[in-house]
Amino acid sequence: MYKTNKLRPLWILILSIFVFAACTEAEAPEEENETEIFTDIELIFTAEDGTVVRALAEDPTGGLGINSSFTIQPITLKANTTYTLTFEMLNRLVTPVEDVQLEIAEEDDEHQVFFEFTTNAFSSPTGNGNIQNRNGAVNYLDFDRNGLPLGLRTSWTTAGPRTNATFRVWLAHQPGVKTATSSAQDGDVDWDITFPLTIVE
Amino acid sequence: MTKLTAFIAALSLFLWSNSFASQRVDHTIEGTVYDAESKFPLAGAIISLVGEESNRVATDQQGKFVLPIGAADKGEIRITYVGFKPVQTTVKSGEKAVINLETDEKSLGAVEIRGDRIRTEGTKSLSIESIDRELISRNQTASLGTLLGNIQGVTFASFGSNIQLPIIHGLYGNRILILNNGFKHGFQNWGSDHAPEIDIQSAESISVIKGAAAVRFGPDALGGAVVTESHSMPFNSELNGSAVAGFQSNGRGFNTGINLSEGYGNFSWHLGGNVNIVGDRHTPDYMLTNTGAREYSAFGGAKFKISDNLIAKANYSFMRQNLGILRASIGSSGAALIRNFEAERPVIIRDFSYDINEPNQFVSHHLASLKLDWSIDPDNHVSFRYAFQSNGRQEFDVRRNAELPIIDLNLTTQDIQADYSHKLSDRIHGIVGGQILMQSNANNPGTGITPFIPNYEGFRASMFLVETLQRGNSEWELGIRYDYERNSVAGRERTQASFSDSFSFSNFTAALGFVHEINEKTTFRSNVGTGWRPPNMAELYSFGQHEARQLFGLLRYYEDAEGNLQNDRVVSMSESGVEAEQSYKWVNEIEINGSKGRFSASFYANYIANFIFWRPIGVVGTLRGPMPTYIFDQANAFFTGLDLTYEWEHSPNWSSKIGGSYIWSQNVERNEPLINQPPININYQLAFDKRNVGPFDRLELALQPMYTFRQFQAPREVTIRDIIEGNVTIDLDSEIFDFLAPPPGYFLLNGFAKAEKGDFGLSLQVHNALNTRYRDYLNAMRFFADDLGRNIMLTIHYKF
Repeated sequence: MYKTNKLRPLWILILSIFVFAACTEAEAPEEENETEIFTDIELIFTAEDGTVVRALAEDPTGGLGINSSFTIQPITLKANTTYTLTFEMLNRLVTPVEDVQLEIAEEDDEHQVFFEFTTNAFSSPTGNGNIQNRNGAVNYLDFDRNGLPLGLRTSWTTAGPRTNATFRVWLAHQPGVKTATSSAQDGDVDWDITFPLTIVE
Repeated sequence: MTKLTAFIAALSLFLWSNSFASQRVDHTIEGTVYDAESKFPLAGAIISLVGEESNRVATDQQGKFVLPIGAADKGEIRITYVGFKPVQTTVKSGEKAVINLETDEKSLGAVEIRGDRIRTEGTKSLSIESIDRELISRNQTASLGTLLGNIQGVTFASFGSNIQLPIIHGLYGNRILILNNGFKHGFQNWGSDHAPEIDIQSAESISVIKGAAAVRFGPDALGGAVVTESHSMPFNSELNGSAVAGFQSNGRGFNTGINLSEGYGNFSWHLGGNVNIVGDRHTPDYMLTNTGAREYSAFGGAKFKISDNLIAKANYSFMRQNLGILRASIGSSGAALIRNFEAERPVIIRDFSYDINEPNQFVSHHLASLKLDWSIDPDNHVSFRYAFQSNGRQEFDVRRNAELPIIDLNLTTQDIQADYSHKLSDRIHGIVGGQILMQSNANNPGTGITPFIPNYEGFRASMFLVETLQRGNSEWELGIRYDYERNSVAGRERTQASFSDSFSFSNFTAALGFVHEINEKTTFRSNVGTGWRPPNMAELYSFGQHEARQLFGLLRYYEDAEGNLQNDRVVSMSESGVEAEQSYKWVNEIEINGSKGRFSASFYANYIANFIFWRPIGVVGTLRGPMPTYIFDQANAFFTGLDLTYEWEHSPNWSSKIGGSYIWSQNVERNEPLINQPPININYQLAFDKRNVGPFDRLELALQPMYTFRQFQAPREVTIRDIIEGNVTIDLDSEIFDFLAPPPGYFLLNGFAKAEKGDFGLSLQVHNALNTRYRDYLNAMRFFADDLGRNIMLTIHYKF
């Protein structure tokens, strides 16, 4: 009898550990803002007369869907016109909506935008861009802290009318790799989108 | 047997030396020799006077000796005994010396002696192989995975040069139970990219149990178990220890470590620590940028004799790692990853550096344990054990917010175990025990990423019984076990909405083993057993972009009415078809120990129902480029294979060892190969071992050529480009594929040399001596870069 009494606290302890541990419910982790995602990338061509042409590439799930897909709007520009190209890069999955471009501008020495287009679609730059060939002409209007081109602002003068052309934009991420000779083939690709391009009279 | 012959030899020596000792004797030295660990007196130990070796005596049955030393009043004596480390000490005449000898794993066949020590109840009929202190300390910078690769039938899967996981009979990850000092190592054991955070230098021995050891050790041991044992902390041992320092050429790594221990009558302790720093490794042709590692560990323990039959042991160990992962294996987008896949050379190669940048893993692990051993009488023994483990893991990816971890987890594990080993009769003995395991995993907020795995609270209670029956030269072993496991899970959906679920699994497992000594040289073992394993959290809930690929756990996707995969919600366990893995494994081993050789062959067959595996399912289009997508899937699988080892002595100094492993595995449900299975490999070692060569006390040399075949059972190759261009369509019913074909077979030449002089030892190891270009099928980095080029490791040991 005495022995049972002595062991009773032990049994109660073991039983309470058992019951307590077996019934512990997990609590959900805190909500996170997915900050690494692009849902919208918009090209904004502003002509000298103030006309604005926009083309949006949109991925509503930010690539988080197992069947994720995206849409790309075509670009339609006027012939023989000079445009300044700027971007809007958004992550709409978070509130408030995140402007990803601000971060890219902050890390300007690690990023560069490269371009490729149907040969001679533009009179300036000429050729077919600098994705395949680093030395291809592109009119960069902005430079990073090391004086190297960045590409968040570029200048484009269209040539004559064209249909079925393409305009490819490639944001390269080159941490510790970006130099005066680094090309689109160096470092990582943040995104790479090919837009249909039409140039009209 | 050996003890008896040693005793007779010693006795005759004793008589012989006494007959010469009939000269004038002024002084004698007296003493008793004990086994430091068991405290039993050692009969037949040889005591010789240093400088006058012909003057020697042997201890009697009580371990006592008397040695005449002539006119001097003290003498330096050397005490030797087969299987124990020799001791040299100075004793004054008239004093009664107490000498404790420690077992020496080196001088005996290490495998046998460690094997016997680890053969606790419930594992006798299983195939066990061990790695001793000698091999551990020779591989200062090796991970547990690479070190175990020395055992036949064990290979390793790696995630680059820093992360290696052991594979036993084709199974790895959480199908291998890792017992650190008797406790299930509580770490983030999911995927092939999390290696156990165990400092192997803190281990005295490491054993591999190649069978469904589930009955003794619990679920998760479907493939087998890896058991590390810490310092035994013998009582009555003088302050002793070792220090080591080493350098390796590949990665310009250096390491240093120290080990100390001391024992008194009722108390003993040990203490140690290691530091290992390696920079970027290289292949024969280029640097592997960001493959450096930094590892720090500290460990200590104390043993108390509370009373003659009650011993308490406390142990603590800590390890901290910062492991770099090949930079070129990570693209900041899918498009970049595909480029990395397709490139001949990694797309990012920088100059050598010790820096570790993203991607990297930062892990710390604490293990504190308390053990009580109560010997009621020689046949009955009770053991109680408690351990607390805390595991912190932060993983950093290449991303714009690179200073934030992409995964930030804290896992605490508590483990309570009690068992009772008993002897029912002369022929029947066994062990009965129970265990409670509690795990709590929490995501630390602020990663900016939907948690890759949810928070969870896990609870498991288990009971087991193993009885062994001896019949002549045979032994039967029967074990049963019951486990109950409950998990409560709470995480975040893609939309950040919270979800929660709770579910339980329970299972009976059983094993039947048979050991038969066919004759003095030949032993046959057979073990047929069941094992089970509930799916782990990553297999159920993995979600998101990790290392620039998409991963979906079993409950993170479903097939809609049109047969399309959807992941807009998390599926609850009750409505899913997910089931626990159930294994039926039969292992047979034959071992022949001759006077000049040893042969062992083990054959196994393992059927695993609901086998969970990771496989590519296609490529998802995103603005950041096409992203390779993987899902977890379940199917019935079958594994069978053969491990062979043959060792023989050519002459007293030359010996050879040849081994090979073959595994055949298949997804039997769909009749197609499984992914990531080890290819066939053959290895050979030619060794030279001689004492007293030139200036050295001992010289060892070995040449180790090995050949790994191409994995011919791999899934078909479908390139990412083919999927994007629409040349192939993939859905859940498509035949399994991989993004790259398996690499060709390769030949590696390794070798080592070791010289000992007194307390010092110098060892030189060469890995990939021919600087061969190769890629290993089981290295996840094979998609991006070649494997390591030549590596020369130089280590200096000092033992005292």
